[in-house]
Amino acid sequence: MRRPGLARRRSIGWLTATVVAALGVTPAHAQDVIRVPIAVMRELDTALRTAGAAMGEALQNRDFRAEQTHRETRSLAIGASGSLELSNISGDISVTAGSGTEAAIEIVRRSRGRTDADAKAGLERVKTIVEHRGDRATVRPDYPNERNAPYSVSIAYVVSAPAGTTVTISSISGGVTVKNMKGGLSVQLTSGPVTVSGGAGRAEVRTISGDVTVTDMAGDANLEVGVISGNVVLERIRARRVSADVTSGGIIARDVTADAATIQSISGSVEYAGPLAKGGRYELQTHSGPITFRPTGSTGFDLQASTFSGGISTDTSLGIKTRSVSRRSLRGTVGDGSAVVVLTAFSGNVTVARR
Amino acid sequence: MATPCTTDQSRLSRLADGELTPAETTEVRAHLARCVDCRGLLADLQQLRATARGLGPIAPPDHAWMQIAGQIRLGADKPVAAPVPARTVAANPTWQWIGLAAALVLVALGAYVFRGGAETPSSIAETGAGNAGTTASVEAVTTELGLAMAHYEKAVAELERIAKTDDTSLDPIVAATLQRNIGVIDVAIAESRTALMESPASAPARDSLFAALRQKISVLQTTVLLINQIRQGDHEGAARIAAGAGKKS
Repeated sequence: MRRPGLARRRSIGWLTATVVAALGVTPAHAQDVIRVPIAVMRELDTALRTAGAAMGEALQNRDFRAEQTHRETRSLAIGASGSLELSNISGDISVTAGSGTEAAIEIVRRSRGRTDADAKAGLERVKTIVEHRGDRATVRPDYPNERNAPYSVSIAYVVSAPAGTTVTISSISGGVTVKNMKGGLSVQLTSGPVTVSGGAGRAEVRTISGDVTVTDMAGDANLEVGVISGNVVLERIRARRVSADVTSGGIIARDVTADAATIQSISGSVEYAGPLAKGGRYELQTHSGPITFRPTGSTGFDLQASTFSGGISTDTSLGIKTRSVSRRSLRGTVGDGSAVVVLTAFSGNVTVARR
Repeated sequence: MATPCTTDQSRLSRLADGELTPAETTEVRAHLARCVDCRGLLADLQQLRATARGLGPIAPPDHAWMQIAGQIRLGADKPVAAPVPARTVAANPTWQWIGLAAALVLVALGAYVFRGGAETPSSIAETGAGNAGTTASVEAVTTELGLAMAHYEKAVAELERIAKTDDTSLDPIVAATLQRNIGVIDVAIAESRTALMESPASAPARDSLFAALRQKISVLQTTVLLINQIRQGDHEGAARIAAGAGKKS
């Protein structure tokens, strides 16, 4: 299958540069000499390829002025706690909790081409396959293996499913919205924003590029978020364990109630606020960016805060009994010290404060 | 889709380390008798532990290295993520080399953790910055990472050869995103290394280095898997793999 609407380009150069850069194989002293030129070339290469891709797609889309749309609705009797797998290449996906024991899926295929005939051909060639067996159903696109297709087809899924359905979503491009689903949720996306609200089951959201927002989650399951490029917001979360991992982007976790939390960014700020559980462990880490930790409630905690080149500040109202303190490190206890809090920044400041 | 085993896999690590009580051992052995996934994971952990004792050339099972990595990363005393389903990509030399190189770095990190017992890098530093034990650990890690990097060089050579001969196609925008973020991680690694050279006992510098290394492996792993999937024309698989991004190795 080929992804429609995107000109495929051979990307040998970037791979080589990426791998060489990623592996960092040159000795430390040699990196000082050659690092800058390689980095500059890499950035130039990236910029050119990105611009070229965007331009190519823009040009193609500009030519694709004719549009044809097809809508169909399927009802799938998967029961109150069945499973639904949605795969897509391009297009938005929306899943909302409904009543009853059937999932209703509206599939909207939108095809664009230079002419109406091209757009119509897109609808004829790009299909959606729906398979249903017992309490399981899968929906996936079926693109022909066709290079330089004279059309571009995106497919949107608008789903209303029983709240207890376990939902698995995988897609290349497009936004994903999930509301009030209480079964397990897995969202795996290459590019696009993800918004999840009102969930209750285990939730896992991973994307290469795109912001992730999870709000109003209740229950005792785990929440895992992994993003390479994008910001993460977690608000009003109740979960057994919360983990969020970002390479480039900030993480805000507010009003989070969890037995354990691991929040980490390489480049971005990290903020966590919420009550602590006795015996809980809360680890926040960032390389470049500040860390702000705001415990609520009355649970005491053992605090280990450190930064390589930033500063550490604490709210006196916390009543921290310090065991050791320096400009870059603080160890102490609040109350009974029954929870463990580890805050590690490299170049950012670490702040511990009440709300 | 098979339901992954939800048993507490940290117990497998502890079993491999001989840290379980007799009662716990009996219980875990009983589970192993009926769970093929956990048996495989235990075998991998035992192999990894043996490897960590003497870092020579190794050939970690391609299908399981992510599971191993997760175990090492989280340590024996922390909760672990659910097992990642096995992936059959052994025929691809790119994957093999990346898997090997990544596993070696993880072995080095694992060895570091093993040497420190149950202590995390932070807690090691806490016991007294600059003491002899800490210095020895830093030196050991430096040596082990150096070995891993040597294997990386081999991986790079192989990857370059593949890149010159294979039709490697990846969405340019996704590629640029991955590339840009690898650059971000490289900066973090370089800064952490410099900081460690200046302050070998610095816990935040050490923790940042390890975190960045782990993240680099994760992103690189995602990149290679994505390329493999797209090369095979499996765009749905590519979406799943792409989304493995950020799933720590």
